[in-house]
Amino acid sequence: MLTLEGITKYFGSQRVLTGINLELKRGEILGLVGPNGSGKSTLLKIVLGLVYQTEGVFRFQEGAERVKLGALPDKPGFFPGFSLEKNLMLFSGRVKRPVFNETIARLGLIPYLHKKFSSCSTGIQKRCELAAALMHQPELLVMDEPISGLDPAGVYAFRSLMRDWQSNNMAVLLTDHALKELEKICTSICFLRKGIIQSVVPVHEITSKHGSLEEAYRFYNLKSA
Amino acid sequence: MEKNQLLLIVRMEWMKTCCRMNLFFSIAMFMLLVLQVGVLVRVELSGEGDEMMVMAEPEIIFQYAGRYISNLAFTFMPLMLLINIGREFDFAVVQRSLVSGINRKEFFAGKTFQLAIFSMAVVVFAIVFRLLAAAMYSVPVIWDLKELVMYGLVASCLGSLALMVVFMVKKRFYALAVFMGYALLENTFSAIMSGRMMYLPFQTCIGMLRRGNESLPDFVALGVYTAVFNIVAWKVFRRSDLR
Repeated sequence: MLTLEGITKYFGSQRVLTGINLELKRGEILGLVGPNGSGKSTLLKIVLGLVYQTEGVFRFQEGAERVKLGALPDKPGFFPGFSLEKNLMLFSGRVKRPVFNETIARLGLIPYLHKKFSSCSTGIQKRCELAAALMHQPELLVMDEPISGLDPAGVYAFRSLMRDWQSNNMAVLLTDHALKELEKICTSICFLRKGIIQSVVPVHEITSKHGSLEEAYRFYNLKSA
Repeated sequence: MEKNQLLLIVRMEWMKTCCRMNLFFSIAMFMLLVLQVGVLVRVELSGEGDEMMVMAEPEIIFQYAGRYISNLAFTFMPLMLLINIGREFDFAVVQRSLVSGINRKEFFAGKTFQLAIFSMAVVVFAIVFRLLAAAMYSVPVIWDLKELVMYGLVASCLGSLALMVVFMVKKRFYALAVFMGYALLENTFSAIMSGRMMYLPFQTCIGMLRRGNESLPDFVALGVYTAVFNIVAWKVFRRSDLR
C-alpha cells in the first residue's frame, strides 16, 4: 500500500528525519511512537503531501500515483465560526449524501451539526475531524493524535471504526501518545527517536517479549539514548 | 483540470466566500469605507475654502462617485482577499483542503477564481453606482468602457499583490503588515523621487484612478504586474512546506 525509501527531511540546517524506510501493507494499522520532536508528525505530513522530503521517495501501491487518502492532521483545519455542517460540507467534495449522513450518524454528530465549531467541546471537534477524514472512504488513513481529547465513548467508537477499517483491508498510519490505546488498536508499532527508526515490531511480539507497549517504549528509548 | 473538479472548486470557494461575507460584516466594512471617503471629500473641499459645498453632502458625494469606487478597488477588495486567504492559513484550512481530495494546483485555481470574482465585483459596483447617480439626479449615464476595465485591472493587480504576499507569508496579520508596509514604502519612495512617473504597482494604480485619462502603458503595466504576482504566488505555494 505504501512504501517509504530513505526519507530524509531538513528544516533549514536542522535534520528532522534520517533515512526512513517503512512499508505499510493493506489491513495493517501501524502506530508511530516516540518522544516529542522525534519527527512523527513530519513523517505523516510527508505522506500527506503537505511537506516535501529533502531526500528519498515514497510510493503508493503498485501502479497508483496516489491512493484515496483520509487524514486527521495535527491542526483541525476548520473555520471556527462556521457550523459543523458547513465545515463538513466544505470538505466533503463529491461525497454522496447517504455516506455523509451515515458517517456523521455513526460518530454521533447529528445533535451538534448546527453548532459553531469553536463552541463545541474538544471531543466533538475531534469527532468532526474524524468524520471529515472517513467520509471519503479512504484506502489509506493517516492520523496525528486521533485519540487525544476523546472521551471514553469516543475512544470506544474510534476503536470499533478502526476494527471495521482493518476488516475492510484498509491501511492506517497513526501516531499518538496514548500507548495503552495504541496497543489495542495497532497491528504493529514503529519506534522513532530523533528522526531515526529504532525498530518496527508487531504488537503480538511486543506483548510476548516486553509485556506491554509502555515497557517496550521504555526499552527502545533507553536503548537508543 | 476536469470540468467536475473545476465545478467542485468553484463551489467550495463560493461557499467559503458566502459564509464569510455575512451581511453584518459587509455592511460594517462598507460603512467604514463610506466614512473614509466622506472625510476625504470634506477635508479636500474645506481645503479649497468652499464651505458651502461641504453642507450639500449628497450631491457632492455623488459628484465624487469615482472616488468611492476607486477606494473600493484600491483598499477594500485586496484587503478582503488577503484576510480571506490568510484565515485559511491561520486555521490550517489549506492543509485540510489539500488532504480532502484537491491538489495544490486546484487549490490555487480556487484562489484566482476568488480574485476574479472580487475584481468583477468592483466593476459591477461601478456600474451600479453610475445607474444610481443617473436615476437620482436625472443625468444621462455615460459609459466609459476604458474606465470600467481600469477599475477591474486595478482591483486584480492589487488583489494579485495581496495573493502573492499571503502565499509567501502564510499568516494573516503578518501578511497584512507586509502589504501595508510595502504600500507605505512605495509611497515614500515615490515622494522622494518627486512624483516622477514610475510604473510601480501602487503608483500606477493611484495615477490611473486620479488622472482619469489612462494610457496604454498603464494598462500594460497593470496586466504585467497581475500576471507576475500570480506566477510568483503559484511558484512559492507549489514547493512550500505546510507545517
